[in-house]
Amino acid sequence: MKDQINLWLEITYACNYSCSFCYNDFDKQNKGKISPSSIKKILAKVSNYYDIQSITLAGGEPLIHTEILNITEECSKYCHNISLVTNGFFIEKNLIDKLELLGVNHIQVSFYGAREEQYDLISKVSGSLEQVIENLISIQSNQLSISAVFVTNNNNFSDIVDLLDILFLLEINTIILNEERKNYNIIKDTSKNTILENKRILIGNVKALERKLTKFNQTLYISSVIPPILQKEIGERESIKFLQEQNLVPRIVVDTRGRIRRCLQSSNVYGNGLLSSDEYNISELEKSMKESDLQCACEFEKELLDMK
Amino acid sequence: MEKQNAKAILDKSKRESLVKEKIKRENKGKIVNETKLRSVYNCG
Repeated sequence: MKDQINLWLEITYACNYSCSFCYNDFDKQNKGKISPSSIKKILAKVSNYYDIQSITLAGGEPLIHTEILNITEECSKYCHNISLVTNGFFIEKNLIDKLELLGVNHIQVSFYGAREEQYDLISKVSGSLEQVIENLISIQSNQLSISAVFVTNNNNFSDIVDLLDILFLLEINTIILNEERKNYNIIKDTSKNTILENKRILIGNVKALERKLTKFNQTLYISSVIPPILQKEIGERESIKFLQEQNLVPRIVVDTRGRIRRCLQSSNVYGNGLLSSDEYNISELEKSMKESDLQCACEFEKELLDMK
Repeated sequence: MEKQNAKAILDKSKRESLVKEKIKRENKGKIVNETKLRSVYNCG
C-alpha cells in the first residue's frame, strides 16, 4: 500500500511581488518555470511511489505561468483535489472558472496586512491590496473554497483585527497565520512549548481575538515553522517522530528544475482536510496552537526521483 | 451575497458599517440555527 502524500509543485519562480521575506528568495534570479510535459513526467513517477491525496500549485506566483491550464489538466488526471497558492493579484474570474472546471477546489491567498500603504511597501506593487480584494469579490459566487494566509511581522501584526473584518466581508473563514521567514531567528529553542510561548507574545490579547473569531465564525490557525537550520539541530528523526504522532501527511515538493525534497506538515491546514469542516468552537484557536502545523523543511537524505 | 466594493472594504469606517450590516443580515436569516448562534456568542 502506497503512502499518502500532498504533492506541492513550485511551477514557476516568477512573481510580480518582491517581498523581502519570500521563502523562495534564494532563487529570486531564477525566473524558470516548469513545462506541462515535465509535470506529466513528474506526476507519473511520483504516483508510482505514492498515493497523491492532493496537489498544490505554488510558486513564485503560479497564475503568472502561461500554461497554468495545461498544467492543471495534467494534474487532474492524477488527483481531483487541487489547490492553488497565490498572492491573488492575477485572480480573474474567467481563468478561475476554467481552473475550477479542471479540478481546482481550493485557493489559498496570501495577505500582508490591512493597510494599503503598508501592503504596497511589502509587495512593491502599487494598489496591490485593492486589486486582490476586487479580484476576490469577482469570484465570490464560485464554488471553490478560499483561505487566507496572513504573513506577519512586527510592523503589520496589529492589522490582524482589521484583516479579520476584511476577510469576513469576503466570506473567508479560514485564516492561517505565518511569520516572515526572517523572524525565524526569534525561535532559538525549538521545543514545542517555546514555540507556542513565542506565538502567545505575538497574538497579544488572545481572548479579544477569540471573541472576534467567534462572532465572525472564523478559524485562525497559528502556523509554526521549524526552519531547516534549527531542524538540523533537533534532528530529522526527532522531527519526523513528533509530526507523525500528530497524524501529519508528508509533503513532496518539486521545484521548477524537477528537484525533489520532502517536508512533513499538517494536511489539515495547507491541504483540504479541515477546509471541508464547518465545525467551530471557542477552543479551536487553542487547539490549533497545541496541534500547530509544524512544518519541517526536512531535506530528504536521497533524491526520491531521478529526473535526468 | 451582496456585491461588495473594494474601496468601501478598505475604508475603515465604511468597512465597520458593512460588517455590522452583514452580521445583522446573516443573524436574521439563521432562525434554524438560533441555538447554535446563541451558544457561540455566550462562549465569547
